[in-house]
Amino acid sequence: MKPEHFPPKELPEVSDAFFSEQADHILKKTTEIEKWSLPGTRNIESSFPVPEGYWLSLEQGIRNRISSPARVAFPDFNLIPKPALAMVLSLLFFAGFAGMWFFQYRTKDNHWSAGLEQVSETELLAYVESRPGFEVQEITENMASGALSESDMVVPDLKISEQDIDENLESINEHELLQNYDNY
Amino acid sequence: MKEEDREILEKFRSEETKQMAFNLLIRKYQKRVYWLIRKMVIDHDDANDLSQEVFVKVWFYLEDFRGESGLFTWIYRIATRECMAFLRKKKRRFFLPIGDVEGEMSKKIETGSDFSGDEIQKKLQLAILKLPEKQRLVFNMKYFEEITYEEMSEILGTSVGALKASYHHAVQKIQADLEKQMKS
Repeated sequence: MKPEHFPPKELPEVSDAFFSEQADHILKKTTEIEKWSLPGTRNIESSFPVPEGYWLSLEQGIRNRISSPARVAFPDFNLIPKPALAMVLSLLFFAGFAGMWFFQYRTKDNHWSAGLEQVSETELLAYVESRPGFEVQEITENMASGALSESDMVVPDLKISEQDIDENLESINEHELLQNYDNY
Repeated sequence: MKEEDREILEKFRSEETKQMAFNLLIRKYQKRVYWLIRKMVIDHDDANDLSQEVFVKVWFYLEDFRGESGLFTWIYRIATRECMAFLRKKKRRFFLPIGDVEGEMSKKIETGSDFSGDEIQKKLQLAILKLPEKQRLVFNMKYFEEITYEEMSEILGTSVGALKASYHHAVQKIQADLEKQMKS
């Protein structure tokens, strides 16, 4: 079947010079904009007041900023983005807090073991002997938790003689006993 | 790169002549940098602060400058970035409608606290302040500083075509605004 014939679409008559005229028009418009200006407005600097001798003070200000200790130490500090800075600061805060807690705990622990070393073995053994139900481990734990203090170590009435103590001392491995405290 | 700038760079790289080179650089570019910033932020104190910051950055980073672009282009790039960052920060500080920053700057021009130009200059500045920031920057660079599109393209990292279109729109908006101002 023969395809239906459509009459050619009517196009407006365009002169040969149309496109070059258009191009000229666009060029003219662009040049106009390029050259656009309001008389007497190009030199705007004179309309913005600047304090007298300002340029010298600007130079001085730059030098002061460069030589400020904070700038020398951290030239890029103000370039750190704010969220990153906030994160770093909060991490530092938590690290500091954890460090303080750990240090305090360790100091307390060290203090306690230092205190324990001052208690004579005789007193300690006497105390253990005077309380048959208590284990050495239990006593040391109580001392660590603060339930027992150094003053509690005073045994008012020693019911064992020094000889008994010596015998007991022989049966107990002194090194092992101290090891227990150190391990705690 | 211009011979004079190349000389400044060479002197800056030597410890003995570093200070002298920096002084030369400040004296050569301080006014251009200040005026570029001042036209964007209007307020003298803000322009002073930002100009100092630009040169502090130049001091710290000039040694890393590879000289792929002109020294002036590089300094202008820092200046425009500082400017845009400042305006963005200022807008965030206002919280309320974005127009408040422009409103504040317009008020400074209207009241004459930071502007002493005649009526037509005032009208032009008010019309410029209504443009979006980047368009304002392009307009100022082209209209007042007469920087070529090619140089602008290097400074702002935008294509020459986009800059031409941006300037074209800016001029049209300013013309329309001036007409409106004249009628009212």
